[in-house]
Amino acid sequence: MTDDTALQVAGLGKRYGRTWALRDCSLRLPIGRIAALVGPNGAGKTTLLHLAVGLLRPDEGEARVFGRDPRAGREALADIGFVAQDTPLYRDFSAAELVKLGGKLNRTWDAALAHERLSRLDIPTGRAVGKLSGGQRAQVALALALAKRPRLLLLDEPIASLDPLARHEFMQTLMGAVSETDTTVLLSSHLLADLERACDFLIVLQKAHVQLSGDVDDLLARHRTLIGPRESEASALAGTFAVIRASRTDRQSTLLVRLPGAMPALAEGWRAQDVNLEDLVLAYLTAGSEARTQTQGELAAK
Amino acid sequence: MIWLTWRQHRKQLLYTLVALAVAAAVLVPTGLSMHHDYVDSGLAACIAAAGTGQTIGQNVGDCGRLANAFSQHYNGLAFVGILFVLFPVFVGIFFGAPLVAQEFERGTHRFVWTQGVSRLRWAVAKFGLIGLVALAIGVLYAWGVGWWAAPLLSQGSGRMNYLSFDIQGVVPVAYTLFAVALGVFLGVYTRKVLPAMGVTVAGFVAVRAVVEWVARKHYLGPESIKLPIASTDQLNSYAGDWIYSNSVISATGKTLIADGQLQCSGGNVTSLMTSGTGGMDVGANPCADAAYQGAYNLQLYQGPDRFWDFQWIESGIFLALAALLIGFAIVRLRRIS
Repeated sequence: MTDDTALQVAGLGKRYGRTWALRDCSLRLPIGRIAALVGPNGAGKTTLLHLAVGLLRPDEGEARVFGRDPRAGREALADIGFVAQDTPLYRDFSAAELVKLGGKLNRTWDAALAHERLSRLDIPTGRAVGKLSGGQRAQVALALALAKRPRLLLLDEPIASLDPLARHEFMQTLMGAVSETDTTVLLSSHLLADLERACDFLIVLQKAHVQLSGDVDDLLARHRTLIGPRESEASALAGTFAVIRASRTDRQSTLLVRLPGAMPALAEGWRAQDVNLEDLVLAYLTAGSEARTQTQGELAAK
Repeated sequence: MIWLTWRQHRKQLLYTLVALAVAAAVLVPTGLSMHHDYVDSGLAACIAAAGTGQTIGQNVGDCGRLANAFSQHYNGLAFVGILFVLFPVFVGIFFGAPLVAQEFERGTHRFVWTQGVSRLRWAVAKFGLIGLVALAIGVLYAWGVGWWAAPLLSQGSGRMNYLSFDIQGVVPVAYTLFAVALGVFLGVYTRKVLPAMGVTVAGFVAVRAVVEWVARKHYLGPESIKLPIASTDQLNSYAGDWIYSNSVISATGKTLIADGQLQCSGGNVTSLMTSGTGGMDVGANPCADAAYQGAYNLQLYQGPDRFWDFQWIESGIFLALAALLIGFAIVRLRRIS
């Protein structure tokens, strides 16, 4: 493991009863990245985040945050800020009391920073957080997570339940806060659109497996959409490209492919287009879903 | 952690203090009036005169009459006393069961367990502090109810008997701590407040019943007293004994009456009490029966001097169970994933 790794997971698996919520999960998130963890509901996003913050114990493999087991205790936890799904807070506590609580539960704690953030956002710190709006509560949870001065910030669907304006404000606050530091961020969402502009690292989860992970620019550079006549599809590909997803009309084929290395020359009648992040994610999600269904079908046939 | 526990449970504590104050508002006046009547009617002096010896002379008719009058007057309060037996389980359901279960239900365990405090420390601090609160409530309750019920329990069947024993001394404190531990344990395992509360009630009642009716009488072997049927003395029913059995045994060691007492004077029956028949026919006049010559009444009992032995043994059992439950809860909490 290199020193520039914030989160590394290897062969990670978590099982509930006989169902694997996450399996064979391996990825490496370098320090300083803003990573989007994308996948449909039930893909294993929450499980992965809970394993990373030590709330869950893996059944297979391991997770390491800055080289340490997150279940190892206080020191490991001190590096991680976590905002859980639906931002659970003690609802009868006021924001000010929660800040005070954080100070008592954490060795490093920047209460002034939390208060400054909350006042900048006009969030009443004296009122019970259960009576705040969802957007305000999410901001309180974020301010608390940031007050820990974490080196890795994990957010589980922080904006899923917010209205569009609150989403925008939340992402703005988050980006503003982490741009001042070298905090690594991993945030999950089932909607890519919210994260697309903010993130420079992508992890796609589908049916308990990692379909894709890597630097966003890198991923975009390594994929193209190829469009050409359907009858010459086989010869055009010629084993050079890995087709991730194909859609075909009677005469034309549209293929999202992974490049072998540099962009090779294309066959007659074919052209290549750059892909955007949304196409890429959609292609891998569709492919993942088909592949799994196929495998299951084959197993059933045996 | 101390501040968090205080902040989370201060309302609960306030409500508990209000409830205790209401209880005190009922207990103090009724208790004072009972204590006064107990002394003023002469019952206290009578029972003191009867002493804790096993037999007494015949002039105790007054005691019986006074005790009857007293217990008839305060009959309703005796039922209140029985209700106090249930007090510990309330502490268990309101302080124990929600302690961890509520964190799970509201998802706040995901907040508090991802701060810079290990789960073990969180659990030890919370369980310890709530345990101290339960201890204080238990002591207050045990002391208050023990004082209140003393006149009711010092006559009649005595303070060693079922239910009377349970609201005095130190066992109410042990019951309270056990109920809280049971609530915490079930909260950790069910992770739901209401099921944890329900099973706490059921579990508490079950364990208490088994210990009370099955285990307790075996803590120590019973003491025994033999009183010839021809004696003019009587067995002292004001000594506060917990009586296991009364029987009449012949001079040759044969059981004549399995469940009863007999007194004879000049070949005639002066007193015959049998409850349950045991299939024995005592005949028209057992005192004239040759088989009854030299027979004696045999009483097996636990004397009131063993009250504290029994209290500490029973408390020990419940405190050990409480410690075991808390231990399991902590192990489980650390493994939960």
